[in-house]
Amino acid sequence: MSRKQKDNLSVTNSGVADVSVGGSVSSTGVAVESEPTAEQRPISVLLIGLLIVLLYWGDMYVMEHGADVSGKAGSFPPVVYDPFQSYAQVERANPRSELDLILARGRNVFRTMCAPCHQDTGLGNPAMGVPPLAGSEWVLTDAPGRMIRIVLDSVSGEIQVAGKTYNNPQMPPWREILNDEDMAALISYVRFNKDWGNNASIAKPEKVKEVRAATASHAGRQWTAQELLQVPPNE
Amino acid sequence: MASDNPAGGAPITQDRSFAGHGQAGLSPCYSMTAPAASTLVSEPSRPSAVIATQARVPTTEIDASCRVPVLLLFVSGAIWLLVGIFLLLLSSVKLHSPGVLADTAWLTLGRIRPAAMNAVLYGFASQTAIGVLLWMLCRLAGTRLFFQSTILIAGMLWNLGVTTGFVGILAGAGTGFDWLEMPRYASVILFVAYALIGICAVMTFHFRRDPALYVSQWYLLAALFWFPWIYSAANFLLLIQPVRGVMQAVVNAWYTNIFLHLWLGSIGLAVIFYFIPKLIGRPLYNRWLAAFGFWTLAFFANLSGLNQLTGGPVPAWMISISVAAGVLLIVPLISVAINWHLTLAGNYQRAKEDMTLRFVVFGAGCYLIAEALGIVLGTREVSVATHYTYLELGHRYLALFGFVGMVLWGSLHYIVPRLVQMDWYCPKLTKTHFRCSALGVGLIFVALSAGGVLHGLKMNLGTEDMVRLVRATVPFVGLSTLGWLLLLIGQGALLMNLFVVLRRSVEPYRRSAWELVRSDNPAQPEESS
Amino acid sequence: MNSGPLLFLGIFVTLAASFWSLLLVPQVKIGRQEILNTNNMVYPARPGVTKQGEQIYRSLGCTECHTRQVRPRGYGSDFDRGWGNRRTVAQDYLNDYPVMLGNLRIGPDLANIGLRQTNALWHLAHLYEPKRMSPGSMMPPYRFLFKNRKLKVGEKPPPEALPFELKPGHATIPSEDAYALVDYMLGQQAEFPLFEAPLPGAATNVPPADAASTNTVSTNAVSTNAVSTNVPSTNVSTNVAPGNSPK
Repeated sequence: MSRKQKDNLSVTNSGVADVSVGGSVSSTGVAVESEPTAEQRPISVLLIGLLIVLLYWGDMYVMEHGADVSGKAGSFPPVVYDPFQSYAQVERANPRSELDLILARGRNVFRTMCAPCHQDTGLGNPAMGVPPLAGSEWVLTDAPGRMIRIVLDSVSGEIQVAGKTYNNPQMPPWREILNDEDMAALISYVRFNKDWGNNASIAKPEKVKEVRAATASHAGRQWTAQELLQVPPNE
Repeated sequence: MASDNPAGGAPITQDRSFAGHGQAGLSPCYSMTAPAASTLVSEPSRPSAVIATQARVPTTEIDASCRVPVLLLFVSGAIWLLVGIFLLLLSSVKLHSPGVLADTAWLTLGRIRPAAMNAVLYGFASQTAIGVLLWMLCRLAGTRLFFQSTILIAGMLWNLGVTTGFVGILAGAGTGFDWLEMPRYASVILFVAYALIGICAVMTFHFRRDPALYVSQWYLLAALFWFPWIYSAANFLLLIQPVRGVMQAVVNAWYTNIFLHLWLGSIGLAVIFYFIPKLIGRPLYNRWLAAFGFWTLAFFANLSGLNQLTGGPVPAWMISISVAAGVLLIVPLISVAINWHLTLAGNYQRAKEDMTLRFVVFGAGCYLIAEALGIVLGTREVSVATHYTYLELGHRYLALFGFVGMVLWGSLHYIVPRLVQMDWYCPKLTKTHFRCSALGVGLIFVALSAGGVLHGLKMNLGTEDMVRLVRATVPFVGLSTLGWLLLLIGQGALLMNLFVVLRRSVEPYRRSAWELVRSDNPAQPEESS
Repeated sequence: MNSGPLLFLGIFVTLAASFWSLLLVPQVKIGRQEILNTNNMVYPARPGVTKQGEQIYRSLGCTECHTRQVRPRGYGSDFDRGWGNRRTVAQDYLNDYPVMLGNLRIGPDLANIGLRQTNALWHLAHLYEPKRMSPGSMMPPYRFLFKNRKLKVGEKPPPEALPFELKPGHATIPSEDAYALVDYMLGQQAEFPLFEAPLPGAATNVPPADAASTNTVSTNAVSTNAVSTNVPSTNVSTNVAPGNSPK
């Protein structure tokens, strides 16, 4: 269509007359509008692949940034804010009380030295001659005197723990290996372990030092149950 | 191909309600429009052939049925646009000259900017989008608009609601929530108006003559259902039974994201998918790809709202979900980009001739840029530097005016002549509208982005004094003020075009009515041919 | 994709997914927090006139240019600017309605302004004319919150006027709104120590060995929101009982 001809028609910018583009012509010879259509083709596999990859990435991203699915406070914890990514991190960033520090230290010692026999759960292995610590009357005396002695020089002979008799438990003495602080922390951890159901008082390093000195003569010799029972429960 | 004289000697006015309006020769810009066929239109065959169960209603009848309600929506939308942009211009001025008009609470920056945004979002964008939605649904359904008078009432109610809310914000009753500043009484009116419109739209959709659905209908249907949900939920959870504490910010962020992405954005995408194939006369490249893009957008854009809250007082996992969903928006972005480009391939120069296509292609380009930028800005690492800066503001304006605005203006440009069966008053005004809007939006976006980068570098990555660094961004804000001015001029051109066309389309009624009054004889329809 | 009902179902499911994961689940997790009442301190507190001030803040749209949130370390320079000593968390906004976090910073963050600028007169003068107190400021003046009364020659300013001259020859009297807003400013503080927002660098006593363990060190950890004796510069005196059995 020439420019001149266009002037007599409505101008293209509204497209009213020029609807023949893509349209059809009716029987009166006049152009008619038509609505858009779409072709069908397969979708590129690359695009679907991209979606899957990004979904995987997205899942990992959410897991690592705050979802904390296996964390202590449950999944999607409401107390974990940026820049923390898990409840453990929040806990660690909070200043600890003295008690927390002692217990943390004691736990480390326990895991390294004692857990191989007495287990992380504190239930020991009674079938193999390892008495439990959870609920043990030797642990839960009012004062830690007996327990300190056991840890220092270990036990031989028959000893009854939580209704079961153990003969010659093969426990090594720790007098030369653990210092006062470590020993006190360890004993506190065992005595005050809520997870095991223990709720006795903690032991202080000074007390351990005191008992160590008082039993210096017993070094190298293991305690028997009778000797231990001589020690009053409130000492 | 149309014959030289589309009037063709055939009688013009048989099935149209306008009797002998306007003739060629009134002005060089104005000429007779072609009459549409009075016979039934035969559908071009589609590759995915679904048998049409009923014949479509003739196009002119469809357009005639949409005429009054949609025109009301368009015209009120254009007026609100002018009001909104004027106030945004004023706020931009206040950002670099804070003393301007600062002596009354009604015009303080903190009130005019939310008022302007609400005017633009609900007064212009939503209304025009609803008008386009209704018209497009009718056209694609091949049926007339249902319950036209109800929509007319709803449109008036909508305007009442927006006016009440607008004045309420300026008076100090703004709620303080982003994009929901209108007081409760206004939002209730809006919701009722929308409910009426929604019902009519769904009925129109339901009674479509062709059961097959085109891509645009998915987006329109989706938008129709999403908006009342988010609007009622957000208003309920923020204004009626407010949630406690920071959950309010969460609901707010969820709402604004879905409002832009999946209410205005969906309709904008529907427009682009509709006009690009239609105006170049080729089918859309790939329907399955379009479906893929639609569902991925629907799913991930819904979840990406909280990436506005990075670094905010919200647990980490919530932000992580939104950030991840935001990154996944790459998939629908690529899908639509491929689809549009391969449909348009080789036909880009048509945009030079066809103004509607020009608006739509420009809008599509802005959409791609805005979406990509949004994905980047939504990640934690980038937001460290860019959060709370002008860059985010500029990005929102790009999405709102560069994408939504442009495609809506393009649709307006196409639809209005068909509603009034009359050409635009002056194509030069249309060109002015396009150029000023495009330049304005571009200037606003570039200026605010550049200023925002500076803003972010100094504020978020450095410790320079706040007052000094804000002063350093002032020249950029000044440039953006220029952009607003351009945008305002462009909308002025639109409004002028619109008003003249409307006046002319009403002219024959006025004239015959006047003749009727003047003469004592019973009316004889004047043949002003 | 040609079926209206199926389409509707899909549309519903996508919105339901976001409604559930971004609104419902968070509401269960953080939407039911309570005001803290620890050691005779209530947090957060928003007494009387500061609540009115909050409404003035909302009504004037201050949130358009100011934020009220402190970002954590590694997310900008909020700490370096002295805008807070810890990040803000959900607990800090429990008493706010509406919660105005803000999303543009053309002015400084206000989450802790009550701790940074404790002088009410400074705030009042700043509201009247920001440039006077912060030279070069781009904040608009809020003179309409004040009333200027022309003083006759030799007249002394009335007692309710500000004790300094803001407009030559006039006495400036702040309105109720101005006072309420300033009270709100003075009440802005978010430094109450919280478990979820530990002060950066506060945990100096972390035992090194258990850095890798996820099941954390002390299974007997103290409860949330407890304040430790190791927290520096806090107004709250606390006592965490180290173990609860007699020794």
